[in-house]
Formats: sequence, structure tokens, C-alpha cells
Amino acid sequence: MTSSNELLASQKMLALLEQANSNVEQILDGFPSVFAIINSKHFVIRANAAFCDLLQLSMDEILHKSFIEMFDSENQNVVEHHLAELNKESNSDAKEVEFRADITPPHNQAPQQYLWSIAPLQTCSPAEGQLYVLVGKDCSSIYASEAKLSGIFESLPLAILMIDTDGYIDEVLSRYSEVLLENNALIGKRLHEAIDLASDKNAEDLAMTFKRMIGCVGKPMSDFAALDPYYLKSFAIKRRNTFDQKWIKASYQAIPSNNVIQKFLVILQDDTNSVKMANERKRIDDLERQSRELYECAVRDPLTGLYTRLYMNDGFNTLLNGYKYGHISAIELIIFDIDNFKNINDTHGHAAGDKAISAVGQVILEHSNAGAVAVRYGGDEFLVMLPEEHGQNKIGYSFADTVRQKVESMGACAPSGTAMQLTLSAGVISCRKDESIEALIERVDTFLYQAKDAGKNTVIAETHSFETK
Amino acid sequence: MSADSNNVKCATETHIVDAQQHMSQVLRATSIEQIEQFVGGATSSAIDIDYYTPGQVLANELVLLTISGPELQLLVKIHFNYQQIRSRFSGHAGHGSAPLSRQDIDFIKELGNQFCGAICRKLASQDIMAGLSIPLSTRGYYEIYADYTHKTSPFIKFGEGWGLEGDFGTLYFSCYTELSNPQVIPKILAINPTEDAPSQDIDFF
Repeated sequence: MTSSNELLASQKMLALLEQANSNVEQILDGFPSVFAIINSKHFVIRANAAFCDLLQLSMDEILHKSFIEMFDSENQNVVEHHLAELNKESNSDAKEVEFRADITPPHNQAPQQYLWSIAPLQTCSPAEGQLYVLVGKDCSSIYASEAKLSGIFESLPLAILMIDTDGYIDEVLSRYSEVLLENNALIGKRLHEAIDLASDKNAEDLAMTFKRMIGCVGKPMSDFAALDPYYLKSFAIKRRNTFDQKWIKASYQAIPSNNVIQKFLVILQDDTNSVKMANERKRIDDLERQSRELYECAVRDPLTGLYTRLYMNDGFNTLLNGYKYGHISAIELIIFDIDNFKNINDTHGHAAGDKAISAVGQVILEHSNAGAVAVRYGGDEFLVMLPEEHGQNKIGYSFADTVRQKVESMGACAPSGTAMQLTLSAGVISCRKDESIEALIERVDTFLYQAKDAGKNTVIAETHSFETK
Repeated sequence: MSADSNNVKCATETHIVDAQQHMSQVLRATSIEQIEQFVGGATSSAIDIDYYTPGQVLANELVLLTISGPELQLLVKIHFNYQQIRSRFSGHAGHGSAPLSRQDIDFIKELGNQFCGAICRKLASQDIMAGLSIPLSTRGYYEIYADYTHKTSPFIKFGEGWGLEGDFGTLYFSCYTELSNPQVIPKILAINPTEDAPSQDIDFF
């Protein structure tokens, strides 16, 4: 090869190297984040287009400009601090530092929030001293979101606390925390020590909860998940300047790093209204139960266990409405009257009369079906409204006669020990739709009179009569 | 200006200092002379750069050439910024942060060629034979990677930087000189700094 050819080859090779170098530099120039190299005096010796655009300076203008003086005085301190820290380390194992410092572009624009990463750069020439390569990323939108989220957190009506591995509060994430817990010096304290718990039991519970939580530190998340939900209970604290109590519901969440528990997030919620509501609800339930018991007392005849006349209208109307609207296919009304009851009273005394009434009531109650409403109508008279069931038709007569037979066969014993023969008479009618209770009773009464007239111990139904002596 | 004169036994301290100073005059005078020719007679003056140290980043771009011979080696750099090139030399303005065009770079490369060619001619006028490299352009901050440990076991080496001010703003020059043979000192002292030597063949490598 001639020397001319060698020269051309060298030129070509150099041109290729130049082009390769130029391409690399263009990549740095077009790097979307801010990129620069600064020297030991913190002057810029290389900046990319994004940095120039941020500061609205040309490449020529930004060269040898002080990096620190690009910031306002407050942020200058931050940058200087981190560069000094890096400089301390640069003699041994140089490490990267990362920090946030806002930079204000010229012409009174709003500060831009940047996250800076700075690392020492090893070079050959000592002329510029220790060099640093820095990358700045515009995090304005991230910080804006963070500020928004933080604002939401702060204004939540919850106490949000971070608990360190020893159980001490190391961060208060909501302003409401101090209001809720009525303590404005929470950091550095244990939760159960920072608040005035209403009872020793609450203090023990909370201390036990924290003991169990702290026991999970350094362990995998599954250990925390395995804790039973006993630690989710509410506890009461004393209100300042009042004799009242405030109820607080606590929930806890472990915060892992690489699935190993490092910290805890504690969220406390004012549960006073819920607890008060629950207490109020319990009081209402008790009142309702007492009311039901009182009502039962009022509507049940203590002698027979049958309903009283107080309940009769309600009970009968319920069945009649069911009949009227087709829920029940037929209803019959039966009236019973103990035969010669006045003689029992006169002969054996009122106690014997009561005993007779009680015995008859028990028989009626035993033989009434589940839907029947059996009432002690007055004195020795009983009314049973009997809905037909399972397609059985005209069961009133057989029901009444079964009761009659049972009463006749059982007899009774007066308190004096004298045997009493009990019988009763009954009338049975089928109820008609839209017939009033009074009309029904009046109509069934006529069949009872017929049974009495027929010699007593008899059941007379409106469609047929059957006499038994 | 910096110098390292250890192991010098065949030349006095005075001669060494004289050689450095004279070489400095030659370089500066030649740079003025060439740039005046290059930009069409603009008035220029050489200014010292305070506290100059070889390896300092003086501008955003640089063009690098070497002049190399048996008795000496010169590493010549022209440091320049974008706006000067665009507005003063190539006659067009552009965005301050946009990369320079090939034309802009070639313009300074040619200046480097002219300057180093003139130096070679002046050296040759005193029988100091040296060849000239072709120019290489790169970003100015590559100075941080420049290795100024000597390669030729020189008996004396020194570096200097100066600026040229004119209508075009300020262009910076730097030159790192290594002298391998003490016998070259009288020849250097004999160079006329301001008189351009007659044109002759120059070796390119």
C-alpha cells in the first residue's frame, strides 16, 4: 500500500471514530432527563439539551456555570450537603446519592421538582479535580400526586401512624391523629402510653396487641396474616375535661420489605358513635323483649294459657283477612261452654271452678292446630277460630267433639278431693267472608244454645248436629 | 505555563526557560497570523488563560492535532463554542443547544490544519523535521480523559493555553509540547515567530 493510500485509510478510520463519538454524544444530548458533568468546583463542563432547555440557556452559556447557583438558597444548602457527603465517600467506595432539590427556571416560572442522582466520575486528567456525573428527573407530576395524596391522608378523619420495629410511633401521617388521640406529642411514644385509656383492661389488651405485632418483626408476612383478628377490637380512651369516653377502633397492617416485616401502619378510627349506637340498639332490643313479655302477659289468660279477649280481635281478624284474600280456604268458629258451671262453683267453691276452667283450657289448647286462635271468651266460655289445613274440610265439628269427649272422659278433682264430672256443650259454624266478629259470635252462640237445649254435653254444627249423651 | 525539567544536564535552566518562552511566542504568533488569514483580516490578540492546567475543559468542542517528529511532539487543541462558529465564522445562527453541523466542525478542523501546517513549516525552517496528523474533532469535555503522561521519554515537557480574542469572540488554543533531544533547543530559539516559512512538503500521518 502506498503512503497516500495509508493516509486515506487513516482518514477514513478517524472519520468513522469521529462519527461514532458524535452519535454517542447526540444520544446524551437527546437524553430526556437532565444530564451534566460538573467539576470539583461544581461548574458544569458538559450539559445536555434538556438541561439547557430547563434553564433556558445555550450550550455555550451553561458551560462553566455553577451548578449550585442554579438553585435558590434553600435548595443550594440541600445540594451542597449532598455533594459534601459524596465527597467524603469519594475517597473510598464512591456511591451515588439521590435527593430532591427544586430548581426554578428563569423568568419567574414555578419551581420544578427534580430528583437528582449524583455519582463521582473516575477520569484520567486531574485538571478539573473530582468530577461528578448527575442526572435530574422532573418529578413534578409525581410530587404533585404525592402532595395530593398526602393532603388527602392528612385530612382524613383517621389517625394514621407508623410504628417502628420497637413499637414506637415514628411517623404521624394525618393531622387528625393528634385530635383523635388528644395528644400532640405522639412521636417517640408507644401507642398505649401516649393515650389515656379508660380502663386497665384496655391498656392490657393494647399492650398485648403490640407485643404480638412486634413479635412479627423480621418475619415473613404470613406470620402477621396468621394472627387472629382479636387485635381488631375497639378500646375506650378518656376524653379530656369531660367524664365521657371516646371509643377508638384500631386496625393494623404490617409493612414488609422483601416480604419481611419491617414496620406497621396503624389506623385508628373514632368508633364512639358506632359503640353508642350498638349500646342504644341493645337497649332498644331489651325494651322490645320486655314489651313482648308484657304483651304476652296481657294477651294470655294466666289460668288456661289461652288468649284473652284483648288479643281475640287481632287474632281473629288476621285469620279472617287470610280467608278473605284467599290464603286460607275455610275457617270455622267453635264456642265451648262448661255445662252447669254455676253448680260447680256453688257446690265445690270458686277454686274448683277455676280448676275446671283450667282443665278445659288445657284440653282445648292441646287439640287446637297450629293456626288456630283459642280464646277464653269470658267465665266458662271459650272461642276457637280454626282454619282448615291440608285440604281437610269441615274439621270444626270433629275438633269440638274430640274436646267434648276428652273433657267428659277426664273428669276433675275438686281441691277438697271430691270428684267432679265435667262436660261441655259446643256450637260450630263456618265463617263467611266479610262477616264481622260480632256477627260470627252471635251466630255461633245460637248453635251453643241449641246444644244446651238439646240436653248439654252436645256439639251442634250449623250444617248438621250430632248429639251424644 | 508549566514545565518539567528533571534530568536535564545538557542544557542550562536558562536555555530551557528560553526555549519554552520562545516556543510559546511561536505558537501564539502563528495562531494570530493564521486566524487573521483564515477569517479575512480580523484583528486578534493573544491572551493568557489564568491558572491553565493541561486537561482543563475550555469550551464545548475541540479539534485535536499532533505534530510529531524525532526531536519533539506537539499535541495541539483548538477549543471553541457553538455560537462563535455559527455567528462569526460560518455565517449562520442556529439553536444554542443544537449539535454543530459537519460544515461547522470542518471549518475549525481546517483552521487547525492551517495552524499546524504553519508550525511545521517554521520547525522545518530550522531543520526540525516533523509530520502532521489529520485533525480529530470531539466534545470539549473529553479533556477529562486526556492522558498527559509522557510517551516519548522527553527531557522537557510543558503545556500552555491561550485565547484569541477578535470579532468572533474567544477561541482557545492549547499545546502540550514534549522535547526529546536537548539539541533541538538552539533550533527552536532560532525560529522567527512572526515570519511564515516558505511552503514545503509536510508529512501527514
